[in-house]
Amino acid sequence: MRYLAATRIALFVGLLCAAVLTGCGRRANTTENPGATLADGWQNFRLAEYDLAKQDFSAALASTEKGPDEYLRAEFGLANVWNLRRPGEDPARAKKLYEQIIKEAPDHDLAAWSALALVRMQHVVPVGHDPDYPAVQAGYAALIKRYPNHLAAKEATIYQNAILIATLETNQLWQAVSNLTAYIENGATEFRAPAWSLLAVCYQSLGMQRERLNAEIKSFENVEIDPANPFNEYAWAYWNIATIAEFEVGDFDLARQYYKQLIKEYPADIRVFPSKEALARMDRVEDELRAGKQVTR
Amino acid sequence: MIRLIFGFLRSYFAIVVVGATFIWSAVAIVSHRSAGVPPGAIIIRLGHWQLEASVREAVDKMAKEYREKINPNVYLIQDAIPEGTYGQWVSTQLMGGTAPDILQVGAMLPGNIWLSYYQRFFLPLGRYVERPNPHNAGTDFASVPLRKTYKDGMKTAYVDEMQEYMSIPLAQFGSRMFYNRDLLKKLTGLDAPPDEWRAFLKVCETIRSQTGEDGRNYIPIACSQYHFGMMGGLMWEPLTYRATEKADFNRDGSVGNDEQFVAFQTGRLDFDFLPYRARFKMIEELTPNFQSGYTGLTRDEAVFLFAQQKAVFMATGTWDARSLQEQASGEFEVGVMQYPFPTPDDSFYGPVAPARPREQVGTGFQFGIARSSQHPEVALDFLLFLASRMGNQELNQIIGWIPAIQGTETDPLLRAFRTEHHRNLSGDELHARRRNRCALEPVAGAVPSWTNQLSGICEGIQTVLFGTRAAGLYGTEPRLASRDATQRNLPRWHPRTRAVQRRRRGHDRVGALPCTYRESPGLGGVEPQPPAQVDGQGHRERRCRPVRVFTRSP
Repeated sequence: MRYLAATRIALFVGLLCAAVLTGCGRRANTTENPGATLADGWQNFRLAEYDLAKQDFSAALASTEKGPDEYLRAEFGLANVWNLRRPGEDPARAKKLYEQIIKEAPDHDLAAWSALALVRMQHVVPVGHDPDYPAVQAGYAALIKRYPNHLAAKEATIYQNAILIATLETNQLWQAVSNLTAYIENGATEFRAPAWSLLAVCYQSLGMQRERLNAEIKSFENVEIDPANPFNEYAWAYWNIATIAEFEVGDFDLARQYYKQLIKEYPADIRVFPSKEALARMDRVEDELRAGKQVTR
Repeated sequence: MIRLIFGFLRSYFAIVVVGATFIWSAVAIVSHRSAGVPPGAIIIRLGHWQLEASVREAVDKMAKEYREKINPNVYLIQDAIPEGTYGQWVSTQLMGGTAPDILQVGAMLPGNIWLSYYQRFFLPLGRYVERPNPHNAGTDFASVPLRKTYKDGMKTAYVDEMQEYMSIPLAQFGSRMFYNRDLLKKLTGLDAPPDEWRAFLKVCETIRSQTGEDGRNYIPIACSQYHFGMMGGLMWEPLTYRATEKADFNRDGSVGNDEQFVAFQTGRLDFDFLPYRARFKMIEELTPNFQSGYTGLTRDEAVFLFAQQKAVFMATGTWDARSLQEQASGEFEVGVMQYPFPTPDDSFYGPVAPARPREQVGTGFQFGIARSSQHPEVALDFLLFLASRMGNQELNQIIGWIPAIQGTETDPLLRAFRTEHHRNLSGDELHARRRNRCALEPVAGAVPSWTNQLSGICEGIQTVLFGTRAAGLYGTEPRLASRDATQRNLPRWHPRTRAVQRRRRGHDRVGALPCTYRESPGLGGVEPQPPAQVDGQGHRERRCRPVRVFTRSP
């Protein structure tokens, strides 16, 4: 009798476990639509669920014929998983997939992004390692040449010039000034503010403070805004321009203009009090100088 | 038969007890919840961690009002969960698909966990915040977008990483010094305590010198490990404001950890720097007025001391205001004052206390809507009702908190939290919630250039990485998405984005720029000298001399 009861209980527990385990499994992706699978893949990628993303991209890859747009997108998704996941990255596999995309569809939109990803893999190395700068520069240059006007090429332009600026060497800095000026004059709308911002950094390194100030103002004027973002505020920009104008260029009128703008537009900002101090300070300095006094701090 | 049942019970007694308890619990919960709810009614569940009686009472009252005025078919059930278990509870509810329709969000779990929950389990509310709140019809806000009706522009609800609004905040919070008005009068003869530092210390000394009925000395300030930090933000940390004059290298109005490190390394700052000495001095002067062993005590133990009238002052926030008032009811009157602070003419603190600190009041008590909700539109409408001008005012008046919506009246007890009470005699305000923030000194002028340079380079790079590129890659229509992302790309004016980007750099190779530094005397950095001349318009010409700086090596 006892033996029978124990058997029944064991059977019941076994069935319960089986039911639970069945329920725990990931729901099979029954959809035949690779587009939906790709969307799932990107969603999982965003959620840092890289194993799931890999499954989705692999499934999309397996369910699509080689060549069409969705196949390339699946390849690109999978390449990004291997490239960017932490931990468990596999740069070799990522590189192979990116190269495959470029080989299979060299004129496809994703070929340009794959080319950029390949150069970025060379450029962005772990802390303690130095990138092979000549190779990286050559990579960006080739990309810009191969895909002119593509968004990836414009992004590459920014990276390329950032490398030049980081050297702090005069020749390289002037080269960056030339490149960035040409980029801006070409009328590019994307990355315009960052380009001006990098120019400001160039001018600062070259000791050209007036030009730096102008570039900072241009960068501010071209800043791209999400009107829905409640954190949009220009107090920092006003402060930045005002302090450069006051301390680096000595253009007190411009400095006053931006300090006052900050006080007016952002009365609750943390920089309001020091802006008021700055206005009083500039008045005091000017009065003392006009009175022929030696100005001390 | 009876023997069989008895035998079965004897063998499986434990299982039977557990099963019976479970069934009894389920029946009890279901019957309790359905009590008073007519069949066919829409039931909205709301989960939160506010166990204060006034919160539950206020939410119930507002739900009743919503039912009477707006939708007679909606009934609200609250799940008030203790803080200690809220995180686990909300996780299991969300993962199990049994979450309440409305959940309090934003705390009790790490920020990154909330971020993943927002993405997986909550409805984005971005499309609603740009529309007027329908419950503001007939008021000045009838055609004002919801987010613009908030005192803080609804910043708390915005999740940077998602570029989305994910919750509806309902109250604001601030911190002040609360005091026992009757005890203060009895011990010092004063009707209101002074908010000037020296005078306040004298009052504390007077209190400390007197003994109660039990023969023990009165405690001037009830404190604990919880309360200590609260005071620091508005008392001793603002004293370090002048550090920005020495080390705000990138001129963003604050001294970051990196800037402070460089300033110490280069000798621009040290622990003898007056603002830093002042900070420690203030702590040294204040702490003898706490009860002994305060660092090991918890929040409740300090509250007991205050409620038992053994201490005169206690620092806490608006969230405790109503509870303190209720505990003191019939015993003593609770007063609220701003934190004591030195005046600019103070012999020691004067140079580092140019103005009274002003806090940035935070918004909270925020609620998200679960994706699993059966009635998300009703849940949203109820939250909008609570976020309407009149609804928010009424809700917070019952609770005793500060409304989050503009144009609302604050409870009389909390009037001391209004910003006009923060002004000093000259009308200036020193925003100094965080240490080392705020100013640029008259003399600091130009600073070693590497920080600007580095941040310029890094920002330039990061700018292109976040937003434009992401949408270009992940958008379903790449070109359109790229353009859209260009609009969303918020590079340098956004301090929180920069912070997020900095954090990401540690985990994601995208955006990481290998940087090493070497000391490079005489290169690049300049320090200002007094201007040599001024032209007719008052413009001056600067002369600079090189100083030792750090430069970046590729």
